[in-house]
Amino acid sequence: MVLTLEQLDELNWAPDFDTVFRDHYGRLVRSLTVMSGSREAAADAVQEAFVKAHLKWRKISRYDDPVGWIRRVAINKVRDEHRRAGRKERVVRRLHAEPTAVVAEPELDELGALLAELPRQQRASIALFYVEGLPIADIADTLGISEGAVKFHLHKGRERLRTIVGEGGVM
Amino acid sequence: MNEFDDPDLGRLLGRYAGGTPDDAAAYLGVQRRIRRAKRTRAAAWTAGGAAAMVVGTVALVAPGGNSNRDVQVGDRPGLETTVTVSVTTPVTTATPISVSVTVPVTTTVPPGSTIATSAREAGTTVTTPPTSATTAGGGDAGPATTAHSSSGGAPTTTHGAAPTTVPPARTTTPSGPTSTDHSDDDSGDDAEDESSDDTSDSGSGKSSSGSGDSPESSDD
Repeated sequence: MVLTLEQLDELNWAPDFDTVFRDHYGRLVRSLTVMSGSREAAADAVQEAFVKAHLKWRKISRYDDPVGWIRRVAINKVRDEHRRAGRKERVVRRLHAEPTAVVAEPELDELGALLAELPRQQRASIALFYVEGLPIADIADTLGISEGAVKFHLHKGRERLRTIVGEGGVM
Repeated sequence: MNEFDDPDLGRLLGRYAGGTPDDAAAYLGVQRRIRRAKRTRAAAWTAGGAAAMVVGTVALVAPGGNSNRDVQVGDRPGLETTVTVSVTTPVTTATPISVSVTVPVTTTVPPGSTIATSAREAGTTVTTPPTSATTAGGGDAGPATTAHSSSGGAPTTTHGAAPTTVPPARTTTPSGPTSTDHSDDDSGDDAEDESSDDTSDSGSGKSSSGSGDSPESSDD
């Protein structure tokens, strides 16, 4: 007998933490890698988000979208790290020292440099749409912006990145 | 089909994002972080509980220093409170004690002796019992024997304007003794006065104390 999600909700079913982790950890880390530019920073942020979710799992598991909560926490973590890295980089630059690579630079990578130049919301929209495959509505909900704003960011970001794709340099 | 679908860009970004991470290793890392977070949370709860206990203890103990406490009387039947107040106040009272001591004195004067007396107060007399005096002839005052005894128990004081010397007798009667009576009716009053003086003297040293003036110490 297979139960639908609606039937599981009626049975007051809550997803298991291990199952959620196994199903979504990889996707979250990959999308946040594009967002942050660093695999380590992305993995650290996602793991931290899962730890917070585990400590409140009895409550969070009843949410409509527990994975969305974990995603938002991880994105906020990445943003905080990005701000902290930016401040550190500015201080190092002011001291005329060689800036330390806080965020691991992509190996190639024009694409990485280009992504780093994108505005934060554009980069996040691109990552969530093209890497994680979220629909526009979910992206808007995750980032706390309207769907129109998500479409705007996707359009602008895609234009910038298409220059590389069009040139075929990275491909 | 979405207007933003772009397989080429998707593949490019997929390569940039890298392969699927190792879930097992990541899961172990998450479990390790969870244990550490729980320990930190337990320590925070313990510290918070200890701090709350300290604050609560201080809040309970601090009002104890106030000696002015109100007694809450119950406002419903069954809430009556019986309050028994016991006050012990040590009272020190000085009670005057008057002591009158009467010492009877009997002096025996050998016959032929001369008793010299001096009057201290006018009007006092000497009470003497009948005296047997042996008077020798020739005008010289012979030895006289005078027995003094104080009546009434009062101290005996010898009073007199002149030495009690038996004057020469006009009639010489060698064989018969001459008796001279110096008795005086006022002797009893005098003794009473002396006695009263002594009594007053002994009472002069008393410490006067009234019940209202006596210092009282009371325990609060």
